[in-house]
Amino acid sequence: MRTNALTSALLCISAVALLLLAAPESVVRADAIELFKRANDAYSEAKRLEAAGERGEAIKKFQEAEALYNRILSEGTVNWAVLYNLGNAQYRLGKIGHAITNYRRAEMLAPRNPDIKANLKQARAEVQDKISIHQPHSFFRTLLFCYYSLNLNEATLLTLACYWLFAACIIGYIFLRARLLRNAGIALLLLLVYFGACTGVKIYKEVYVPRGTVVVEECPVRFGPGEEFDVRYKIHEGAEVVVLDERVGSEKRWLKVRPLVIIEESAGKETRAPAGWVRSEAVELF
Amino acid sequence: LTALLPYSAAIAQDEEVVFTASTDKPDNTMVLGDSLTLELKVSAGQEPPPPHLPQIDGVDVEVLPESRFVSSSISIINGKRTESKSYTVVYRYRLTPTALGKFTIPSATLVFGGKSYKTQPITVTVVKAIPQDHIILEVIPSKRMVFIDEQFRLTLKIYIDRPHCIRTYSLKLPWLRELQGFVSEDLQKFISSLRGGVKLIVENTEIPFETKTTKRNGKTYVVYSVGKMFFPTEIGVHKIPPCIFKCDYMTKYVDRYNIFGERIIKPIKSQTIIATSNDLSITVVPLPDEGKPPYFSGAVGQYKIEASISPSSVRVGDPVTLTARVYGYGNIASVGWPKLENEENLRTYEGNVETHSQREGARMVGSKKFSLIIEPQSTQVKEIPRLVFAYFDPKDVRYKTLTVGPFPIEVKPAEREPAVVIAPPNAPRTATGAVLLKRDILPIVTSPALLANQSDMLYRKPVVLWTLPLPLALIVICLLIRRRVERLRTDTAYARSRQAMSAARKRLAEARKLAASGSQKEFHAAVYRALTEFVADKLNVPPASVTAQSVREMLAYKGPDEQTVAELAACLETCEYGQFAAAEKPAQEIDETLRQASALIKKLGKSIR
Repeated sequence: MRTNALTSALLCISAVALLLLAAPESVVRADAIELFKRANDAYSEAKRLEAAGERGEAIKKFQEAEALYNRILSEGTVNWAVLYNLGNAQYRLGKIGHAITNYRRAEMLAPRNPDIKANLKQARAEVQDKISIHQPHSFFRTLLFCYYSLNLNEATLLTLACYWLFAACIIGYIFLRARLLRNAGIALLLLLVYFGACTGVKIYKEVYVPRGTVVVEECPVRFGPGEEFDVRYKIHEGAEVVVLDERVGSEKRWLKVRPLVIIEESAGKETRAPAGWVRSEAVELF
Repeated sequence: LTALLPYSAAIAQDEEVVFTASTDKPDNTMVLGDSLTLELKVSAGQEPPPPHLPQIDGVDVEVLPESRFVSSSISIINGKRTESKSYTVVYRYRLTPTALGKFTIPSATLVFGGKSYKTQPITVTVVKAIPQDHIILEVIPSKRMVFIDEQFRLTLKIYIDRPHCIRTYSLKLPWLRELQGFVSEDLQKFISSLRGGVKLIVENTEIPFETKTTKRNGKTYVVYSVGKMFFPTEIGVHKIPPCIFKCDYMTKYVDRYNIFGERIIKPIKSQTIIATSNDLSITVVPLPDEGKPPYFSGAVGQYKIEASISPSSVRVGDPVTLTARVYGYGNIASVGWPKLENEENLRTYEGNVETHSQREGARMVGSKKFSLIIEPQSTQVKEIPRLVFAYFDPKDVRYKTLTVGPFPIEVKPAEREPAVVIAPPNAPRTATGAVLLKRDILPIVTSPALLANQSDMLYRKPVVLWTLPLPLALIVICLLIRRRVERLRTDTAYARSRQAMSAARKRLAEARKLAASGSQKEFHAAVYRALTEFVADKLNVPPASVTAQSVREMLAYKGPDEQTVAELAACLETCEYGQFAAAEKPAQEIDETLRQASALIKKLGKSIR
């Protein structure tokens, strides 16, 4: 009786765990792969033409690559490699704001990829504004690896795995009363709290706190949502912003943003840019 | 002290000194495994010295703290004041016999004031424990007759029917550390090699025991087992001392779970149980002389050998290391050096020996690595001869000889080697630094294999959200199942009450068959049994106590209304008459009785509280 109940419970848990683990990343359609290859070929050809000094032809090819990468995304295939390549094509075309947006999107899906980090750093280095993005110490990045080094699906999966394993240990302990299971259950509960907290914060920050990048050459930040309000300061292409509010005016949509840049408040005195209103067309959200 | 009344006393008394010996056992009879307290009481006018208790064969003696009492008395007679002091010292010893039978506590001696005082010897009878089947100890040897140095295993199995009933225990395992006439595996290695799930304290050491559940004589026991390997060193018949398990066993207790699912056991009645293991002897026989090979050096077991030389090309007089490894099952410590078949033109030196042994399942395995240094003395040496190793295989009961080699070798004439020139430590070094020439982005990713679609967010999937409460629900269900199972196991009244209805249905089905076959007397007996046993199960009373006469009294205030009880009594009476009536009843009456019994069981099942 005891063994049967335990076996049933554990089988149930295994089945659900397998169901959850099955295909968190769905299969890509064959036409997306074909488009990806074509886009890559166009990019490579553009790079070759650029090296040969044929800048005009190269730009056409980069634009072709950009269009093809965008087509893959619009057809429903979202993947870090596509976003990264798209960012590269936009960087080559001088669209730093769009490039940073796509690198940031790629980074959210593949946070441990060093190439994305390198290119994002390179793109940010070309932003006219002084960026004020806080990077935590490597110790905290290691400690909170679930937040900093895992994407949302990986963090969710780990949390769910801890949750189910915790349940399995508790059920095992109920029937077997083994100290090992009790200790494993306590350890898994602690891990569950850790992963759960990290995943919760990650979901909140990535889904419920919209961020974006300025994609126009110069973007005036106003005191209020409308042209009638004075310009408080100006930020430039590639500057990243946190969106705080949204207002639809008579003609245009306005966003209240807090730019992640440093501005000069008075002579020699620098401060973090205060919140202000910008036209929504000037910002591309991640 | 007052609790330890002297049941047996032998007194050596002088005018001033009283020296007595007594035990705390009635009739000086005790159970094997139990301990006896011996008290040597000295009363004197002055502080007495400690007595001497001779050694007692077959008995472990532990000295306990002594008690001292000093009393003063003052008397005034005709104005004359007299003060006197009296000293009483009680020396106590805990005696634990290790074998059944009789043993004698010899006279203890006290030398005091130039005189010698002695107690009378006390004879103590050690008997087997009272038979019980709650705890059974069994020591099982892997073989009862073994060759000298052949490995064998002693396994202790402790069968306990209800481990949770044991409050305190002590386990004596005489062969845990050593056994006279045998070499055993190292205690620490032995303990670390055990993979048991439950740790029992054996003589202040935690030993992991394997556990499993088994049936013995129709009763379910939890079996705790541990086994240890031995290698006999002395020929003859060796008696293995018994293992003793003494515990405080709850015979009556309250067993329940609190709201957190923690089990709470409160003892009501308990008894001391002493269980001893079976008598056991191991016969150790010598190795046969017949067929003993000349290279035999005492190894017993099953072995293999492998060997290699290094280097294989040397100059005359240079050393070659022959590394031989003997490995297999047996007492690896007793394995001696393998020998070269001949040592012509060779000079040999025995080098390092590395021994490693461990338990592998129920056997000891080990390996011994020998390094033999060989110096060829001539260029005529073309090979290192074969290495020979002989051992006795107790499984096949014969000696076996293993060889390995020969090992080809090239021996060159001796020559001086040129000196090695080492570069001076301050030789100049050059270093060049890399300079970053251009900053740019890294290239695109081209592998389509990386192109998985990552648009689906796992935390938004309905299957994830819907299954989130499932583990918690499973935990609650399992808790409830566990509580129910435990209650059914421990609460007899509850278990009987729960199973009463299904048992009654089975009995009524039997009765129906009997009615169909025309056995009316048996039919009435079956219906009667179904009704009485149902009521007995529901009320947790013996079935024999439920009768047509007693049922009214028994069911009063238990829930059923008077009419139901009256119907039950009437039905029982009908069944009683039916069992002994000579005349056959019509089929309708039989059917009516069956229907009535069935309806009564249903009613009673709902109404009895």
